[in-house]
Amino acid sequence: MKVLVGVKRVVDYAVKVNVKNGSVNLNNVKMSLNPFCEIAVEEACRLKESKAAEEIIALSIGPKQCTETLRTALAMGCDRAIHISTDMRTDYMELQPYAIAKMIQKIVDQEQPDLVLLGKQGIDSDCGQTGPMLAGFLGWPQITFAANLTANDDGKSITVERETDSGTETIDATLPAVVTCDLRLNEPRYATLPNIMKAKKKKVDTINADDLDVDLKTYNEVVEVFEPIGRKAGVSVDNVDELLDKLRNEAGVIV
Amino acid sequence: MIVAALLKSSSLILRRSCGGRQFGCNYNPITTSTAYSSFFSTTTDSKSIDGCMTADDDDECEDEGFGYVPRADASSSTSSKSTSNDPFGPTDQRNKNFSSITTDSKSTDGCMTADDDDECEDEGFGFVPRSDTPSSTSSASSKSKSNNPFGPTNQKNKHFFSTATNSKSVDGCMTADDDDECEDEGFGFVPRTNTSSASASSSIGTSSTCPFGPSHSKNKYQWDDPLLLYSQQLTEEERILQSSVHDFCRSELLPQITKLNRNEATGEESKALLTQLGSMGLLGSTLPTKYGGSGLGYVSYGLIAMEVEAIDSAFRSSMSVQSSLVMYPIYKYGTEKQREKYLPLLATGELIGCFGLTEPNHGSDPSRMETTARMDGDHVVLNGSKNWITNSPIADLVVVWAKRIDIEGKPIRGYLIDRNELGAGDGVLETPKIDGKLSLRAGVTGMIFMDDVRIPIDNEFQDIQGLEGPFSCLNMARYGISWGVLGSAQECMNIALDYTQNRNQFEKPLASNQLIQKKFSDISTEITIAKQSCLQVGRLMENGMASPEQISMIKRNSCGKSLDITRLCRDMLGGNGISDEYHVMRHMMNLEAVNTYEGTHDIHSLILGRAITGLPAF
Repeated sequence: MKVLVGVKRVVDYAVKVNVKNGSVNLNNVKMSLNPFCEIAVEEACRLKESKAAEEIIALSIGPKQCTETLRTALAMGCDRAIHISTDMRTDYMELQPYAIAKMIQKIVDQEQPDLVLLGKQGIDSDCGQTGPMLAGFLGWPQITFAANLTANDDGKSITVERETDSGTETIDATLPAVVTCDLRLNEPRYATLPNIMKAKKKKVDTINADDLDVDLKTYNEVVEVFEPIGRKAGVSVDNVDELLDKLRNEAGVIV
Repeated sequence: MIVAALLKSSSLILRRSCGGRQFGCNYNPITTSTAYSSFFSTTTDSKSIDGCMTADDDDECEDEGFGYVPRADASSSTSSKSTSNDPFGPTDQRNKNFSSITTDSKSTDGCMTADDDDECEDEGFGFVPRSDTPSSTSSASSKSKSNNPFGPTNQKNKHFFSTATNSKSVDGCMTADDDDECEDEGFGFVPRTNTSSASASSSIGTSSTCPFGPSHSKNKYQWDDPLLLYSQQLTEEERILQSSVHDFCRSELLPQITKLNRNEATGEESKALLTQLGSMGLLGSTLPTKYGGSGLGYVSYGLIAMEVEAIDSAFRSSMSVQSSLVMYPIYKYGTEKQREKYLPLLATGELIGCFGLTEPNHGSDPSRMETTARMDGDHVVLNGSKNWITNSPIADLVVVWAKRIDIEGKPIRGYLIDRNELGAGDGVLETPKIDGKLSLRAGVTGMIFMDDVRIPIDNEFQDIQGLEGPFSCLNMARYGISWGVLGSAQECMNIALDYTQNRNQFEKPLASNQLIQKKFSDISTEITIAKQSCLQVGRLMENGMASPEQISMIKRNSCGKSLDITRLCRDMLGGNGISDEYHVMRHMMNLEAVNTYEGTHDIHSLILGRAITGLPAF
């Protein structure tokens, strides 16, 4: 099967962001491959190693620095990459899941993959919507929060275990399908140095977002971005009466 | 003719003194040596006499070079040479420095004294986000407090930092008398014609006249990367490599280190480490892929060393020895057969090598080594001992340097001992471990004793004579060390920073104290500046323009400064600083060795001193 993997370039998880001019300041901030997308890439590479997949294409949407993110995916084992170039922000401020899913749909139409693997969400926007929206546009089955994925021997279906709050759900789906990957799906490999160097030779095609004939309008307006209010220190109380008083009158959680 | 002869003889005189003028020894166009063309790019011809310690070494000095291999460009290496000849990175990235939009920095620098309080009230440094710029993308909550000691935003600031007009800056004026000249004073802000390939940020206008960024979006100081090395000065490949190695080191190497250091690593553990490093492609990474390397550039090599040494110097020592001191000489001086036989296995860590130069009685003066090599038919017989040899107890291959007793001038030669091929009648090779080390405990160090060790004559390196051989290898290793120790220093700074921000004494965090802050300022400055120097040397090496004294300078600077940094950090951690769980003192102990090996701090002082004054003081 042919696999298309989405990889998003996001603010590195370790960075302490700050808000500037009503949005998160991204200048000179360390960016890296979204951890959930990394898990998706790893899963795709494993499918290739087990011969279930023959070709893996990595896809990223964003500025020219996305080629770096794509190179990391190529170094992990993808065969080639597609870069949809745009200077619009992909952290929900300008490009939002609706438009992103539309763009991915165009690539799916072009490449005809059997399986689309995405991270369950981007750690910048935390939406988790792109996968389900894409499946909706394509009319394909979607399995989100995958914790285990097996390609069935018939080559035409997959079995996916997904994590829910009440336990693990096992789903069989026919291909083509969209799967979003969760934390426990696998442990991504390191891109070894020889592979990073080899990745330089792999093909990266660049398409301009405007050429995709997709409406990139921002349908949801971001009104405000602010840091969460710091958690106030706790207090100790001397006795139960005081506790009840605080619960009733300050916190307002009992009557 | 006479003139030519005179010139020639004068150059010879200069050469013989071997500590002669910089120009005589290094830049004499008349006396070129074929040895050099193989080491240096064709444009430069620097004969370094670093191999010579005293006038007695003249003979070895004769064609002394340092074996700078302009990178054997693997087929994959397009980027390192092509990115730029500009040591500061490609132009479009540099431009980005000036046109980037970042945040405001509230600094209290504006206030000099308590009397300034009123102006200082909403302290900024005049880097006010402009709320009134038409080009600003975001709307809502941009504050427009005028914090500028030079006046409110919509007045004076405009003169400084407007993108529309040429900046009228009063900064050019020093006194009131200058007012007239000030009138149309620019500040020398050259508007950069940013190409479309510049910054991805959408809003900012194309011609930026401000070194600090446009007024509504001043650049924010990145305390953890002050001179923007990571974000601006590295190629894409280098960033990816560094990121990948960083993750690997943190997840795979860091969990092992406390135990390995506490209990002194065993041979088995050191072998396992090398296998791990090999699996990541960290061994011999600069060598061509044909031999198991990755064809990496020198800056990449430095970045890797930095990441590994941030975990532990013993790990990086092991990596340096295997890569620069074993794989490199085999690659450079060995036969093709030896390369094909050994290099791929050394790259994966299946075979382990060590480098034997230092002797019990000869450390800083290797030219007086006592280990001998005697020819015996189609064999060479080695006798002698070596000391402080990293990985010798577990080594399969020993790259050892000895003096040919049958040769007068330049008797030092390099030999490759394959331990697994030594038979019963081939003498005795012993490599006992040195116990009780208080430095580099997470690695295994030993001696080498050779008692009539017989090796085939093919195992003598043919293409190199004299100290040039070992020194060419050492320079590669020293370069890696220059980067590496900065990783150690940075790690200690990060630990100390975290500690002092969270530890409260006298009801406030330690980090709020002036003495602590001074320490951090010194530490941050030294690390940042040292990294820049290493980066520059790396780029010079990639372009075939380096010289050994540069490496001496950065090794000496990086090691000396890093050792001091770790001591300061240890101090800041107080009592907890002596626990190995806090790591800093382990780094401190390690750097004692690192400051000493590969040329002590003082020896590098003499190398530089000789280069500067022209007078050897060894």
